[in-house]
Amino acid sequence: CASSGAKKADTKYVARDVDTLYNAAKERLDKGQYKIAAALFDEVERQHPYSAWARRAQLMSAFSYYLARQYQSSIQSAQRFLSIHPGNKDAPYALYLIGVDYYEQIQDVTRDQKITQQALDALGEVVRRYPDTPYAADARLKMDLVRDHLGGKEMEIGRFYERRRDWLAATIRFRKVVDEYQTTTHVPEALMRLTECYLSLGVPEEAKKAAAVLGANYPGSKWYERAYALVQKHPA
Amino acid sequence: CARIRDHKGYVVDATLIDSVQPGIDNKDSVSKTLGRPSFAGQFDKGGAESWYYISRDTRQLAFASPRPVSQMTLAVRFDKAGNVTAVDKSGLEKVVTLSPNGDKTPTLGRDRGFFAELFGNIGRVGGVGAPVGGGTTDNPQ
Amino acid sequence: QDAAPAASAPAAAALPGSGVVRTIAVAGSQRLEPDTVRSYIKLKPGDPYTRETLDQALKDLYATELFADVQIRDDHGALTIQVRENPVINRIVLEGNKRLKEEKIRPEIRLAPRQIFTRSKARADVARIIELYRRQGRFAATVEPKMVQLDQNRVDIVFEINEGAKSKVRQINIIGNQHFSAGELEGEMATKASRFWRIFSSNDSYDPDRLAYDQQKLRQFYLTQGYADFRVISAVAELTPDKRDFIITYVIEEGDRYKFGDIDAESEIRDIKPDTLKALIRIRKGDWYNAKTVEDTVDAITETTGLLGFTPDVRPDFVRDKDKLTMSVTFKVNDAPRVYVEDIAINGNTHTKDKVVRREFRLSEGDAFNSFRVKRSRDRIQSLGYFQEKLEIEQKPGSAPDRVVLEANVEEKSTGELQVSAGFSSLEKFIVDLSIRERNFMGKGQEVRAGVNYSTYSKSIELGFTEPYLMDKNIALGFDVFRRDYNSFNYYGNDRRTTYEQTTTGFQVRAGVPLTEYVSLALRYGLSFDDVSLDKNTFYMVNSQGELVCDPLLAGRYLCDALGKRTTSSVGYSLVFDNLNNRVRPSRGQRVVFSQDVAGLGGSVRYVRSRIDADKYWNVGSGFIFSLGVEGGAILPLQSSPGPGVDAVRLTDRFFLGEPQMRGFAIRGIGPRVLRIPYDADGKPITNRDQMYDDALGGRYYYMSRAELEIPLGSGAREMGLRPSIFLDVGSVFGVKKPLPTATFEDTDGDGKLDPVTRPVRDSSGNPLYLIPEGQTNAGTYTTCVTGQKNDAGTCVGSVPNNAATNSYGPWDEKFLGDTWKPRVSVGFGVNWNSPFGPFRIDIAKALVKRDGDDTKLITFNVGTQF
Repeated sequence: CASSGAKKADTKYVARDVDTLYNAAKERLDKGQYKIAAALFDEVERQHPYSAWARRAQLMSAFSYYLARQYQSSIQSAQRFLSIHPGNKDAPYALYLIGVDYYEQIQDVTRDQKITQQALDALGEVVRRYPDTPYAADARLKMDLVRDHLGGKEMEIGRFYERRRDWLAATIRFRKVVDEYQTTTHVPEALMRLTECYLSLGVPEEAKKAAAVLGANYPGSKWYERAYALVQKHPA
Repeated sequence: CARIRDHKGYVVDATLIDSVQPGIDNKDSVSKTLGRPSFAGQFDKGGAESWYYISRDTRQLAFASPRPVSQMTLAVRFDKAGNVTAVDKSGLEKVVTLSPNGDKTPTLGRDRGFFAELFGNIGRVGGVGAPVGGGTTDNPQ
Repeated sequence: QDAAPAASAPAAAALPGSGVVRTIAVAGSQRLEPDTVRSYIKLKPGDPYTRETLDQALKDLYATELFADVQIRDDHGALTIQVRENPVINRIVLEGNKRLKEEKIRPEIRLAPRQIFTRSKARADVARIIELYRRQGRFAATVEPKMVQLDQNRVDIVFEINEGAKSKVRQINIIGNQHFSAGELEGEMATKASRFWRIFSSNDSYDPDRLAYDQQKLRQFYLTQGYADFRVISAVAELTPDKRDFIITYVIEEGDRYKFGDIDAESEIRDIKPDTLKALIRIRKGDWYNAKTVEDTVDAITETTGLLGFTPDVRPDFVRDKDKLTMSVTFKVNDAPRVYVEDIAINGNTHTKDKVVRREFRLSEGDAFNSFRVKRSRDRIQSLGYFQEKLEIEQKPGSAPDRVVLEANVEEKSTGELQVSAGFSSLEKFIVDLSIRERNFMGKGQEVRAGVNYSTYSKSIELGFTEPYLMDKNIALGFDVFRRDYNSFNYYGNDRRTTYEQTTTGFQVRAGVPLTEYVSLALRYGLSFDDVSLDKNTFYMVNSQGELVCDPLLAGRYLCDALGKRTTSSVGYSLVFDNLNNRVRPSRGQRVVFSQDVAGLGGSVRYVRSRIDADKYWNVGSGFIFSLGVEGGAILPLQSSPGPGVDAVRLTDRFFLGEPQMRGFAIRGIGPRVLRIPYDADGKPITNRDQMYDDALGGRYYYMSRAELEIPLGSGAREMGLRPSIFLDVGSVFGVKKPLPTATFEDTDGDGKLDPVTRPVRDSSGNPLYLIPEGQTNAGTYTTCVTGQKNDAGTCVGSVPNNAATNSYGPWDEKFLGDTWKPRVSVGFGVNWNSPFGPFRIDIAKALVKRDGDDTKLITFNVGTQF
């Protein structure tokens, strides 16, 4: 639609009073034009930094950038809000928004997990500073998923070494999962993989112990059945 | 035709290995002579640990997966106080050849669309943290 | 409108010292909420306070950098924090930056719109901009931050930049150099005195850190010449009187020249025997002392011991003998515990999958550290061509002293290539090649290629796919499907004639398997259907039986024999030895490929074609890369020749040589050919090469060798990826049966000149045509009536005889040339440039030695790689 041509650049210099600007931004947001809404919220903050709306606009701009999937700009807006209004009642929301921004950018396990780590740290911050807010509850849930994702990456590398019959390297990786990612969903598989690795490395007594620990903690899991079958087939 | 020969894991030094005797050595002396193990026993509770030194020579014919040809597994057992109680060596006979199970635990994270993959990397500067959607043809920045 | 702080409260109210805080009020804050301000100080109502705590509160508030001015007033415990907030930035404007563009400066500035303006940040940004200009060599640059007050305590920041002239190095003086001339020493240094011909180079501008680097270069140079006591006493850069340029003066002391004393080696590690080390030492007693050879020996020893899985530190001990001026060296290999790899981390791979990089590692976790394998892993990862140029595998300390973590920090490079190739050659043929190639498809390391090639010579479409590690195993599998239309034509005057047209459709399946670290075997099977046809109406004639048949006079006998459909089903293998350090831009190592293809498993074509192709690269120091390439091939037919004057190997299977392999020659410009040289009006053969009708035949054997020296340019050019090189090409293609002449001309009318041969013109159904003479209606057109013209009913009417329409083919002298193994030689220079669209190459080459009939070409350029 031609009318949406309110280019970001020219809105910068059109001085308008705060209410019209804010409402224009709000309206854009409701219409789903997130990028323009974000730009207009920024305008509110630029032209009227001291109005009560400026604080609100900063948060809304971060939220609009998030909806427009411009995660970096959303993070920057939220961080600017926090740097000026750390004590504000909406601070937990801003911090939570940063965590979710990183969370949305998580790539699949085969690729670099730097962003996943950033997501973990940001969400951790929310839980640490505002433990009893509703945001913390959701942050805790998301943190488990993120830690599970990081565990997934280690498993992916472990399986790669197994496929190439690099048993020692695989063992080291799977032990890392068992040691550092106890709460993730990958531990049963890791223990079963360790059974495979120890058997292939010629250390059957460790394989038996791994299978025993798997049985004790995850008796019903399919991984235990497979580990148990393996240990039966190859007695020490 | 020629096979690719490879050595995996611990580099064996026969004289040093024979020098480790039960009852005499303890954890420090062993780690000085042999160095730290390939890995220690994972589930040893209460200090009665065992250290494993794995050394293996493999042969790989072209695209087949590498087969172990010779193996030396050295297991050094310690008691609670950290003194060596037993040193057992084993070779290829305990090695089991098996192929890893195909199943895997699912992980979250979206796979990028087909076209994002195909054209995702033309002229794009792969800076970490650059928004995922950046530079792909379907939603140009 | 600044809230004047002092107005509302008596400034001199003496603080009563300490007491209990009753209330804390905040005044003068517009943007920040009072409780935000309170959250910055440690005082709470009910706390005791003293002078120190108040000062501390003041310091805390200033530390937040949010306030321009802060005061705390206390009347009996009711504290009032009077603040004046720092202004908020509205816009940042750069003025006066001509040399440095806006986008170069903008990222360096910390201040941003909507942030709080603080003096310290402004000062930091000014310093950063000046640093940018320093690095450009403009030391006279000054930056003046100006603030423009706006309403609501907002401010615009204007950085007024005046860049000043680029301060150059006008003069370099060296004092104390007896054994080497100033010119020689200046050659060693990176900084050059500014001369007019150095307009492009940036290293004649003054740069202090390059000054330090030069001193180190001087020292290095002298150490390699044996002056062990060399010292740079002083290096001073003074401004010239007019304050624009600098004069650099070095004062050096060369000291005496040393020779090598006795050389020895000691090893503390049991497995490494001293005499194995001695074999590596190439220094002999009595040579001039040279620090570089000592370093090289240390590297050699470290590398060989690294091979055995040790990571020793090798240190040379020098014993200096002042009077005999000798320096004896003992290479000491100190004991170091064997180190194991604890973890291999791959970072930065936002597009490439982790396993694509990990499978190139030649060692894995748990293995003994081995510097040679790590170097080999780096070479292999670099050869993928997905990442940045200078890729290194870093070693980080592990969780224990004998553990190491290997880290490959990669930066993704765009691996999608859009190639547009436009060729232009002396016979003004225009080639456009559009192909898209993604070398890292889906980040899985797979290569996908799709190419459309349109040129006046050939039209082709090609699809290719390669998976280097099928199911993570060491087997590479790939296939290509192609359809190619070759048509070769030439110009007879300006009448463009297609000599022949070959359409090939087919596919090829290929697999590659590594035999050892450097040797790999590739197998391939290819099936292709060829259809060679001639342009009917210009080259065919209707023989006596009325069939349309290829006329050897027009098309040449060999083309007529090549007609028809053929299927080629061939299987082949190649043995590849490759230890290049970087397959994309090799600078060390060699690659030798021996391949053989046997065509004859079914299909109508039978031959054995073998080829050898070897390239070797040397890094001859300071960026010069010399490469020598040798190529050769032979094709042996397994079927007999279909007729006299026709070679057993088909035209399309023979080897051709010319552009682009041999620069300086046109496409297929070298080798056996049939040249038809027409006679001009008075019977003498013409000389204009373009007028001659030339058709390359190719040959059964060919050889070629190429020597190329790549010349490094200044850092500026290198960033743009410019790589000029000079080259020498030598080669020839030969060995084809001499074709029979297509026509012989006699002097029928006895006028001493050869006469043309005539061919009746027939229409497509074979009946001869006649030309309507002048004076008749629609004269000059063809009709099939012998006399008169056709009426509406189609019968010939009229008695005026038409004259028979014949094509006359002028006499020409048909020569078979170029079939000699004697080498053609061309020399020239070219520039390689990695343009955003793909590699761009332009070559200017002169054919020094050429044989009769060769077709040379001076300039060829090509955007896009040659497959």
